[in-house]
Amino acid sequence: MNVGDLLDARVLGPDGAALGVVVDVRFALEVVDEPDDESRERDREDPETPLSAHLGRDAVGGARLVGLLVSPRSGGSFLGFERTEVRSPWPIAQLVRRRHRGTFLVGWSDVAEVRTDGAPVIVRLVAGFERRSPAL
Amino acid sequence: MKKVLGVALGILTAIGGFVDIGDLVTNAVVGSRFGLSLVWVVALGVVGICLFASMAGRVAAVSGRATFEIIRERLGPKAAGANLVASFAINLLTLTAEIGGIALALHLVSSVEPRLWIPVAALAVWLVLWRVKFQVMENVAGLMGLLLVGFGVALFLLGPDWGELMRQAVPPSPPSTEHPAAYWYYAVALFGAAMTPYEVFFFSSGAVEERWTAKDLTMNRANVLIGFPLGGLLSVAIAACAAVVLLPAGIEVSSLSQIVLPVAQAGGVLLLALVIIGIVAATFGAALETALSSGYSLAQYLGWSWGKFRRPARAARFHVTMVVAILLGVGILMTSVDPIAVTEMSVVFSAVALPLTYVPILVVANDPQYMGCHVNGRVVNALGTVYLVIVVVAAVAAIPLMIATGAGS
Repeated sequence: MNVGDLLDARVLGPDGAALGVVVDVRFALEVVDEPDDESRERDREDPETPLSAHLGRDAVGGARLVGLLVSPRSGGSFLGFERTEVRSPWPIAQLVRRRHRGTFLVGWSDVAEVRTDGAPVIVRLVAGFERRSPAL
Repeated sequence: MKKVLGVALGILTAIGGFVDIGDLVTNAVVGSRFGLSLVWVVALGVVGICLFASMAGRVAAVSGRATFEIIRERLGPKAAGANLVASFAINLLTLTAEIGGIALALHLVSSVEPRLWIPVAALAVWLVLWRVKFQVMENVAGLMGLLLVGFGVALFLLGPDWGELMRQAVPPSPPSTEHPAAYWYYAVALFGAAMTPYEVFFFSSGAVEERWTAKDLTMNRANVLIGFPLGGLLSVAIAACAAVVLLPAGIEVSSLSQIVLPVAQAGGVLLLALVIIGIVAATFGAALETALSSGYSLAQYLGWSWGKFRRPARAARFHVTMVVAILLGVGILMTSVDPIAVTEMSVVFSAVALPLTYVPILVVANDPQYMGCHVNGRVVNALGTVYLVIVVVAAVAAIPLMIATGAGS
């Protein structure tokens, strides 16, 4: 499954009620320390281990899937307003917030099942899933 | 002292760079038909472009990101892609008009047919884009564009009835012979000419080219807030010249020679020669800016390396985009289409495209994660919201007005 498959997927509650659609997928990046020259040198001389295991591959580690942003209404960009509490410029902020009101973040651990066999893709949530705030 | 000189140079190039073929043609056409009764639109457009360009420059200086990178990030690939197609097409139309303008101006001095000048003009534009440094290119074109002050000189030499000109302007009183729909059609066109979206692509990408940081914000503000209004005065002078000479004679502008007619009448050959050099410089400068804008917008959308600060081999696709855009422009002109007609089209479609660039910039200029302490203040946001309404109204009204008036005829 590609991450792209999750976008626009229908989200169902544990009881099968439609909750909305996936409008975004949120990741968190692990931050690792910049490796020193010595470990970079070791990486270069070590052809056996895969690249992904090399220390000096990147200063930023892997991306961890935090969860899905679910909007009760589909379509339209958030223009970044979901991440902050910004309320200006007033008319645009109002319009976007109105269009996407009720949007919530659901943790990846609260996802019970992703069915990719049909179209659209269906995401079902576990019982007692938590509606978290989409703000960062 | 060096800093003062730098600011002065920036302001002068902003004045000289303000007028392009769109401003030139639209102001002359409007002056010859409506007198100064649409001068309020120039004022409205100048305040708008000051607001819009300084915001885009501030975003670029603080965040290091140019306009189309922001559009791509905020709108997502699909909506931003549609935005790109529209913006690119209108930009190409403007580039075509500018190259046509260079050829028309060279035709005036040489009486060699414009169609023979078009390939020469296009080649010159490409060579400058390929070889000349960004700052040199900007400053030379901008400073030589200052020769358009000749329109202001001509206006004084004509010794018009200033009271009559004022009466046309305040309150705006269009001639009774003109239909109100035509009046509003040209209002939209004039607004589009003053606020053309390419200026914002260019201004924000130029800030990245010149490696602006938050420290350069004062300079940015001075350039825009002093340079653009003075450039706007040049626009008004062009319209006023047409209003004084062409309107009473019943001459409707359909060629560049008519636009410079008042200058020739007032100042003779010398002033005419200076103004024509100014027109060549202004249209040439704008051709460079629009060609660069086509490269900027596509490269920024697709994440390619871009910019004149890189050697062409390091930003190959960016340079290829510009070459292709120039060739397309030449191709359009070679169909014998009238460059003046292309210009009139381009300013109206510019008005249609304004919300596409304006809205994302306004949103990002409010985002503290991008801008930190440099987010929009209350006054700028209030003005920005007023302009949001104006820009949307102009965009929506443009096409219906165009159809209703048969493109103003």
